[in-house]
Amino acid sequence: MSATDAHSHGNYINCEKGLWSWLTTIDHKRIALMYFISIMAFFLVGGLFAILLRLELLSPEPIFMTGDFYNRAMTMHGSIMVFMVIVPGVPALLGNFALPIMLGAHDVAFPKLNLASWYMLMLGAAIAVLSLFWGGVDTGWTFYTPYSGKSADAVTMVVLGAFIMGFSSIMTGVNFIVTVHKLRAPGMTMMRMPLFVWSLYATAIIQVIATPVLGITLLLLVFERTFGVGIFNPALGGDPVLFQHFFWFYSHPAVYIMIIPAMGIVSEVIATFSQKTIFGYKAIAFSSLAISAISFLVWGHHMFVSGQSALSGSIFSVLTMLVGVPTAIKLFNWVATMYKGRVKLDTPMLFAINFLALFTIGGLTGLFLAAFNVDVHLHDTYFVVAHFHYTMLGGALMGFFAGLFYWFPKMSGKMYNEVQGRISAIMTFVGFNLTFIPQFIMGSQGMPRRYHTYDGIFTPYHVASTIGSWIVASGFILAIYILARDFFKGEPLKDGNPWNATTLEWTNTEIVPIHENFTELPTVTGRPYEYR
Amino acid sequence: MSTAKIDRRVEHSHHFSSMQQEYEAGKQGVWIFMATEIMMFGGLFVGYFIYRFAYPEMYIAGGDSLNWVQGAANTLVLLVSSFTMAQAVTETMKGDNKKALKYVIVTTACAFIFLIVKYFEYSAKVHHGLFPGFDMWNPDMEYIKSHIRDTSLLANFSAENLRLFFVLYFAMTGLHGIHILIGIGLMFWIMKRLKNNEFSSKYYTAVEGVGLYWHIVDIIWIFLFPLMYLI
Amino acid sequence: MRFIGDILQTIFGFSLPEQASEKAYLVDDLYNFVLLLSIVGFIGLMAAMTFFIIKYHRSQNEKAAYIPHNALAETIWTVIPTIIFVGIAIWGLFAYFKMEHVPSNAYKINVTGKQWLWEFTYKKDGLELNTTDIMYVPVNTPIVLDMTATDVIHSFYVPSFRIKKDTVPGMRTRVNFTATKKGDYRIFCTEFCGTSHSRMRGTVRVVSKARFEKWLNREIAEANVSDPVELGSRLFARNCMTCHNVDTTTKIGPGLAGVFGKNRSFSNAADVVANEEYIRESILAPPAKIVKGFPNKMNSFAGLLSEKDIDHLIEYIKTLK
Repeated sequence: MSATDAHSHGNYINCEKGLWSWLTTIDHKRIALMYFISIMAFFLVGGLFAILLRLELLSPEPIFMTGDFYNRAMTMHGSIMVFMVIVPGVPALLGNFALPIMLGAHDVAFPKLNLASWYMLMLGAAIAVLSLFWGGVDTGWTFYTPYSGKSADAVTMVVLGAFIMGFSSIMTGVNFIVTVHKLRAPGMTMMRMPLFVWSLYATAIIQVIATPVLGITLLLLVFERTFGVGIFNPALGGDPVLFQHFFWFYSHPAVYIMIIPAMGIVSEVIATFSQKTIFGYKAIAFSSLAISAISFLVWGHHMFVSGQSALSGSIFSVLTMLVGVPTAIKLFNWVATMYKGRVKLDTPMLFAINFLALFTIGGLTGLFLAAFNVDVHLHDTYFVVAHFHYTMLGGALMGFFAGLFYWFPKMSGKMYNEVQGRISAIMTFVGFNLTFIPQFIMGSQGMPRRYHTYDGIFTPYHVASTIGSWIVASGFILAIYILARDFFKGEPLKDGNPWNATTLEWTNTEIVPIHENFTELPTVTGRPYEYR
Repeated sequence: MSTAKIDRRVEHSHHFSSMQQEYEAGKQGVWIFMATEIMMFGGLFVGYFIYRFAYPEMYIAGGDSLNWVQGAANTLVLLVSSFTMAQAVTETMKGDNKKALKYVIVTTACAFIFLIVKYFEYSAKVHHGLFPGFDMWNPDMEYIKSHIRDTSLLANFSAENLRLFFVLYFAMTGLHGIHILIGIGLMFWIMKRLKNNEFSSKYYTAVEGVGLYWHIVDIIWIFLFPLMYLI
Repeated sequence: MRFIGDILQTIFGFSLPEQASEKAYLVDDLYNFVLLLSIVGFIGLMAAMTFFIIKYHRSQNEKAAYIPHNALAETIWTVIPTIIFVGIAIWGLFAYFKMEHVPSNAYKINVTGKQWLWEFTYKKDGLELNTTDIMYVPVNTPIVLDMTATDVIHSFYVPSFRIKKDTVPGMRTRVNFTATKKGDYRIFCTEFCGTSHSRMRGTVRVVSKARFEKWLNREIAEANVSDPVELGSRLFARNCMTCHNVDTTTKIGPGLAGVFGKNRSFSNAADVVANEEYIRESILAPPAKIVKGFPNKMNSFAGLLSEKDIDHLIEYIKTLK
């Protein structure tokens, strides 16, 4: 522990006071806390839509929603969760908090850009959410043309909102890449970086390369809608499937923007809570890069039944399978890390195990969807819905909550209520499986996704799924409640490293980090996770 | 970090260890941002080629009906501006803010000339009903036919799908034009700072960054010009 | 091989719809294989993890071992998944090519997706039949669907046949199948297409070849009637029959036999001879002339019948003697 005397300004939370000091801060830790509040708010709104949708689906015929209302709620759930919660979630919140400290830097490379990126997210989110008051959007979060070219006016608003949020994502990505390249502490070579940093680095590359393509796609859609130019409109010679190619060129890598950082968190948590050096450091680090590289070559698997040629479908099918390899390597390495370790099942570890179990299911069901002919049957059914909720909610968000509980003591200087934390982890696990396993079965039986009304044969599965959604929602609400309450009322920490972790944010800072993170930059002499 | 406003920065920002580190970080940041620009225009170029392969005659007809003289003039203007911008960066690196300011002014003037030529081009297209939106699409067939150089195309010529050429023409040159406008904004910012004598051989990241941006905007035009006007 | 496939189908079959086409097993075999593999893999990984958690729990283990990597283990778990995954991909794409193969004698039906219904077009001897909702197909006959859409993208999905293909405006896509069992099977639209996307369902009715022929001949003849009297009689049956008889007896309104060309007297207007003008007016504005001895009961058919329909009705009424 660095023997610095208490900084005269106090820690990063109380060194300045007042709302204005927060809104104008360029301290990455304070920006992270602002992301914390906003992303949790978005998460609750997105979750509320999910609960409403599940409630409506209790019966095959409408209960309290019209078809249009259902479609709007479904679009809002998807857009909020993707663009406002999962994409910014881990990198912008936890990454912002931890990355500079883990590297031994005073801040990210461009602190003002970092703040601007938060404002961009807020602006984009505000525009997208306010679209509800202009009639809402019913295209689904994928905005497929030609439907999105003609449907409700507010599509332009949401698309512009997503465009602006894309800028936020790019700015975060640029910032992280440069920070990793240029601001590492003395002795912190690339191969000594914590795995969470590696994962953020791989993510930032995707953010920087893929997001502009989404940007131009959305701009063309806005161009199409406001001027009526017809680039995606078959009636005017345009090709509607071109939009899908553009869209998935971003949006497939984007699912790795969502999952890779969560994998990084799991690496940190499993090593720390096994008190054992991570198994296969290099394999885990490079598999993140491998995933981000391959992720650019697989977008076509979203279009196996769109009429693209069988040849390109075959190529995309094989390439998609290859993404499974680095993913499998990570899973094996994490389990191997527990072998002969000293495992303790605290809340972060429980969430990490949730991740491990659920993401394994998510990954394995990906094999069904990557197999060309099986996907013909399963495409756009609830099987796909269940698959991506297993990877995104069971994977990315479980990892996100593992990270929130893991870094919570460092963010707040307090300890959360461990018993309640564990209950929330178990509740989310049970509820999650109850919600989505029935969806795998009904999807295999042919229940299409985005259906407001459905065939009566699927009713039992939908009922089970809805009951599960109440449990999983309660679990997440409990988790957020614990974090919010204990940020103020938790038991103050006596030790700045309660988990006996090895990375710089635990070993070389105050209990609550000071504004500049370190009074003197640490010198790094070896790899992290050296538990000997 | 000093609090008083200083003319020439000699100190690095608080979170960097040295001026050199700050400079390298800034420069790399601009480079990475330029990569996103290239990906963004890359998407449009892909769209261009897909439709060009789908409707090759329309792209030839569309390209012929553009005024290549105006396009070439603009190319020249941008090349000159690129040169003056590079000179401005060199002068700033030498610490001569005054000389650099003059070069930036010339660059900005070039940018304005570019936009003025663009304005005449656009209004000619709109006049002949070639703007593919707002229900203004009403192509002047005689105008197009009189411009087609390959006369074998003229037999049975109908303007079907010609629209898709002009969609991409306006989308690509329009987005490029917006970048020129942003560039002009950045130039004014740089001019103000050069006038205040803020840069020195130790600190010139902003000028270099804007210079880099300006070169990328030029290079995109270098690709746009032949694709739209010539082939 | 088929034997193994059948065993897996008995175990996992509950999660898949009925197999009603010749290609169902191509999908199901791979589905079942991957499912088996996934279950084995998942249980294996979770068992190892649970075992480690219990055996090496902090209360059980004083000191952690130091194992930074192990080349052999890592090679094994890189190479084996690669082989399995690529194997699955290759199996999948070969099966796909088999599924895509269209026999040259396949019977063609045109399918059009519209917001929010499916339209099926059958062609025979230069005549056309358009139907919606129910698609009739003969059993054990290769069928190819030539599909497009008129407004937005839809997707044609029959779970029991394991077929799905988007229907794209401005583009033609094809899908083929051979139904192997008679019965009704669900059609779903699986590409989101707006308000009533979830109502865009239909039925494939698989019938014997003989019944299909009979159905097609009857329907196509029905649909291609051009005789105005015949068309008029159908319209009459649908619209007028509840109140008007085709002889001279009274129902709710007067019987219409022999009316055309006769003099009619009214309770609220001067007499006229029943000509075309008069019949048109009676259909569109019944209260204008009410036949003596009858109540003012008839509603206007304006907007419900087209001009053509009314012409056909008049032609038919002329023939009633």
